[in-house]
Amino acid sequence: MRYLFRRFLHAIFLLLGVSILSFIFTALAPGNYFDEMRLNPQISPDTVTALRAHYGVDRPIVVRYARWLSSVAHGDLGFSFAYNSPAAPLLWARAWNTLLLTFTATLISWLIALPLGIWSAERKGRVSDVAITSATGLLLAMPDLLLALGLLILAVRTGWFPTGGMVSVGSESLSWFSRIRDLILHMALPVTALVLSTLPLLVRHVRSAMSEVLGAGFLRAAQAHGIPRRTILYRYALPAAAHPLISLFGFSIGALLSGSLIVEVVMSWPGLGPLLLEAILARDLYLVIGGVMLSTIFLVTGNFIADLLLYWADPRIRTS
Amino acid sequence: MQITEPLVKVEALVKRYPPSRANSRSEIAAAVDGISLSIFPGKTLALVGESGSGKSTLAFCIASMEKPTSGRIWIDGIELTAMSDRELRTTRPKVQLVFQDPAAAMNPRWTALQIVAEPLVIQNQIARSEQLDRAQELLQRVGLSADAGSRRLSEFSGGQRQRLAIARALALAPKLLILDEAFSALDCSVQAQMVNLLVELQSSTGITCLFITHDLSMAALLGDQIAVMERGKIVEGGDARDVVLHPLQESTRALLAASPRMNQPSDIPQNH
Amino acid sequence: MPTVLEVRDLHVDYRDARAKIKPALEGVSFTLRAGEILGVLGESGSGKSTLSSTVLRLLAPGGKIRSGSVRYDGHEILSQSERELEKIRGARIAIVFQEASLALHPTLRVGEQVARVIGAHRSLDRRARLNKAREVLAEVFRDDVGRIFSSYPHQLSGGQRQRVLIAQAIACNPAILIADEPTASLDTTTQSEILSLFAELQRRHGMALMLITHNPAILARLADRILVLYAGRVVEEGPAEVLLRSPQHPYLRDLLRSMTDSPEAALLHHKINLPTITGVALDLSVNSPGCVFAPRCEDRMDECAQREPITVAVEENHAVACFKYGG
Repeated sequence: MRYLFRRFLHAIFLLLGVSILSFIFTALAPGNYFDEMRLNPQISPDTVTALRAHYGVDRPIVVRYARWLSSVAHGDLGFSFAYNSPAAPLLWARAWNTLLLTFTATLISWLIALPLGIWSAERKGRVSDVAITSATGLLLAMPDLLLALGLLILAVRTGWFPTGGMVSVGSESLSWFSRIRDLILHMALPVTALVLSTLPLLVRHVRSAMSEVLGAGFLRAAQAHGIPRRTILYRYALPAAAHPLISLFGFSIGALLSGSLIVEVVMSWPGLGPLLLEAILARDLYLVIGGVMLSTIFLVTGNFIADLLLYWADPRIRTS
Repeated sequence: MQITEPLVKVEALVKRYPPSRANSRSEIAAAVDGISLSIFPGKTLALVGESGSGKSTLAFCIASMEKPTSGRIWIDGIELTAMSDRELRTTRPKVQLVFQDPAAAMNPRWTALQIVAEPLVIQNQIARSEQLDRAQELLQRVGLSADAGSRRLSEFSGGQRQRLAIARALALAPKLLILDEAFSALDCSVQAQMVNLLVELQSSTGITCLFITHDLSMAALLGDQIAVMERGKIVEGGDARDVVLHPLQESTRALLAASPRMNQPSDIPQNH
Repeated sequence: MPTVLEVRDLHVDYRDARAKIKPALEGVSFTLRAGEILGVLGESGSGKSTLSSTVLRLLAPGGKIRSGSVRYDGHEILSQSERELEKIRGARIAIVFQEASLALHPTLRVGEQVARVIGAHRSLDRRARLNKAREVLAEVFRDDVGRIFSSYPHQLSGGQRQRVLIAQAIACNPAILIADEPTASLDTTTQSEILSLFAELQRRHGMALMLITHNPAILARLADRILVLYAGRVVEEGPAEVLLRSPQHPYLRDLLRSMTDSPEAALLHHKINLPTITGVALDLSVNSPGCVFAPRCEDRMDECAQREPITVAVEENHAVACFKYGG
């Protein structure tokens, strides 16, 4: 239990640290939102100065951070200058869209990677394994951008899938069933792109973790006891290979908000990625920090979940 | 009778490990709890004990691989426990260790010659060609064939690997050779060969040996003196004859009773 | 006594990574009778582990059974399907491996590991399985059964782990129990306890026991009959007492001569050269005619280099493969 408490504290400190660093980096980056505004001839310099004072942009950085921290405690993630509205609702809405994609893609990836990796490890060195290793190697070598663009071209050429966006125009007026269908069609390509980019790594890791275990003495002993082959694979080998896979799983959870930026941008999916990109370019301070913090929370939570699972799965950690 | 100074003298040695998580390997975690002993030059002390008795810890302390919690150790008149880390580095070569699994401490990619020459290379006190010559000499000394030098670790049997380990240990002409369960994993017939090798080496080089084992027969074969260790303490010690033929302590008697014998009554009733 | 296992003319090879063929067993034949304790005496390279793996048809990768027959209870093991073998392994023929720390699953409780063996062969519900597992553990552990049952392997000592392996092996009351170097890496006291345990279990359950070891002293204590393996061949076979007291085959004779009978006897050999078997076991991948032991044999004759001796009976139930006795 003390182990878990320590990991929890660790997570909290990590979050605080990231918030401080991202605040500093963004605030210290040259230029801010209002400099852009100043270039706009339609807005008078006095308005700009007033706005700056209003948003407290001129205060020392420590003060700004402290104020931000206290408002976060109240659930208020600051204000977006560009959208002229509170940052939190914007971020949540976009985050949901992203999660829709990444959650689906991650689930599909794991569901395919586990049996495929196990199958590949069992047949290590044989033709089927070599085929899978080459295929995963090829996919790993391809940049996400290429995959996403390739799929987009496919959409354009065949017309089977919509070429971007999340919902079709005027879809609000359709029936509930049609709306779901519409959503799925829009999701198909981005999810495919994400699966194609994460699956190979997962398969490789499952394969490597399994093949390390497959040579173990306790598997041979289980065989000698007459335990059926299937049982040995899934109830002896897989649990023993769990350690690296659990860490990987934690990382998968962690990447739920941050791994899909390129795909979202290329396929015009209204997720956190494009929002963050815009906000950075526009120096929209609180939106940037809010977005970064959200991603970090996921990352840290993912790690913490992995720690929990490891604690539960490996008695050697528990009893030491 | 000439009275000589012991080569190895241990006085009230205590080694405690801080209570920590690493307790699944009971042998390392066991403390050495106030041990005193002496080993005279050219003689062999057989240290007998079961796992968890602390015998390996004692060996590590004598080889200055572990720093004792308290107590004193002298090797060849030099007090190890009073030395700084820098000074220890010059005395370490005087004591060499051979473990149960020699392959674990050898680079599988190296040839036998390279393995045996390694200590000489590290010390770098003689010319390279001399290092190799000496290594070749050592290989033959331990009974390996002349062409063994060019072979790799995987080509040697268990007994041959142990010979290799001994050859390497002898490279720096140590005063004390500590063998920690060195023959326990070998076949019976090979153990006999190794015993002969050790006896021969000792009679020709006068090297002093600390032979650690859980096998009382081995101890009787090799030890001039036997010390029985239990839970960090020496419970009985003396001449091998006395300990084996006239054991005083319960633990020693138990060990003798449990020792495998060729002509013991069968556990199975005769009408089987 | 009815025969429970019959091995005829077994030839097994290993193919290593470089496709070099290394024969592991050559023409091995023997029978195991119900309730008897057969000691298989062999050093490294004798093929003893291959023998036990072959009986269960669980050869390590690269192993190939060239020819021969292994008959258990009327079934030919070498031609059974994997499914049928799964029913025999652990239930009718069980094996206790040597490295207990490697043979147990690191993250499963010990009680669960025994229960799973039971579950593979008996259709019992979960509670019944766990209860039976507890019963079996109580047979091998005198006390502290509850704690052992819920322990993980890394929390147990070497001797305790070995007992768990034994529990797994006897859980389904097999007809044949194979113990492969069951006391390797154990201390003297623990060794003695484990051997007593084997004796007791054999007495209680009446199973046939095949005890494989390189140490004749262990067999002196337990075995009814002994089979001596050298370089994959059976060189001598007969009643334990007879073989150990008056060995016929030069290898067995030399092996016994190089050993001390007891710590007291060892004193007499203190610092005196022990009579050993010269040289090392030969490289079996090199095919040379003649008796495999000839290069190391003191009694070597001309014939010995030309062809291999056949097994000849020197007494009732006692056979040797050596030209000194015919062959």
